[in-house]
Amino acid sequence: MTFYRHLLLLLSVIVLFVSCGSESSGNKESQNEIVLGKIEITDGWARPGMQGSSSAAYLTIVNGTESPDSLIGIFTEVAEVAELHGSYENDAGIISMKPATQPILKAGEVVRFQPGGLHIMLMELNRDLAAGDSLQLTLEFAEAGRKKVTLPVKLP
Amino acid sequence: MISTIRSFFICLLFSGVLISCNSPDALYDLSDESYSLLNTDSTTVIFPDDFKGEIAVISFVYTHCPDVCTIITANMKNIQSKLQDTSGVQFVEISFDPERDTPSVLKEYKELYRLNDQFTFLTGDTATVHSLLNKLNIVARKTRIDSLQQDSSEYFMKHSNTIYLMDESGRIRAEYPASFVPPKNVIEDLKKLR
Repeated sequence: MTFYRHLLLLLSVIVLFVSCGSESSGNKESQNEIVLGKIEITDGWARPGMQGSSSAAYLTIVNGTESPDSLIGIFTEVAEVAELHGSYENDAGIISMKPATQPILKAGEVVRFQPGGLHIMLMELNRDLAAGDSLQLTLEFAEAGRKKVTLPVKLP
Repeated sequence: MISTIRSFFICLLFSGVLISCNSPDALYDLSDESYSLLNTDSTTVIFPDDFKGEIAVISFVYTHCPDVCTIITANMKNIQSKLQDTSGVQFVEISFDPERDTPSVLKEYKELYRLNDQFTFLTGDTATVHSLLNKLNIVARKTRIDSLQQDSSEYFMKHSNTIYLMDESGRIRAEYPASFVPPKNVIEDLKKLR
């Protein structure tokens, strides 16, 4: 009887160790999922534009990882040049626009490119962009790599 | 004698009121000005003469401007759509950039933004357009942007962010920040001009 009691105790300890081990492994996997977690691109759209002229694309980037990342490149086939610009208004009400430095996205940060502020300039369009069309953009991040998104062209 | 002087001052006071009623404050008076411009069909438009008798909501854009100018156009469209009675009102957009904004380019821009015939886009020879812009104190300066990726011959404009309300006589009566003025503000003033 004592033997069975000891055996039962031993089995319980083994089960406990095994379950602790698998939980630890599960945590590691789940942590890995967070570390490799997604950079999400949402709410994207672009304005209509004429071939040879310019358009602008807007979107929201959510850095859902636990690491900082940075946007290092923007690629598209619809324009000769695609880059980040900002629109600014001075105290006299004069609007100007200039290239913006690629933003560093802190872990968990949400960055919005929106009308009148940061936007993706699509210069020298290769075709007309009319409301109802769509275009593809590839955003390259230093850590997360390349993300391809399809944006609708629409009127604001 | 005292009665005569009193009558004189009363008359003077009334004539002052009448003068001020007939000549309300104008930010810019274009009533005696005349600028020969082109619309999207390359038809000559005499500005502001061809708009006299109607109220005009006027803004300034250029088609290579992908961000703020399109917001301005969208706001003009919002003003139009929120105005219940659009009779007797014209919406006019004048290009800052007559070199690139030919009538056909403006026509395509107008079509892309699905604007109806109540919208008139105007361009013209550079000297005439700049003369009008100067008269209206509208700033439009070319700026070259060397792209981060390549040197570019593309230019952009530093420009004013303005909507004007012009009365039936060609006088500019009100001014607004074009890209963010709430349409109701313009509409309230517009109704007072009717």
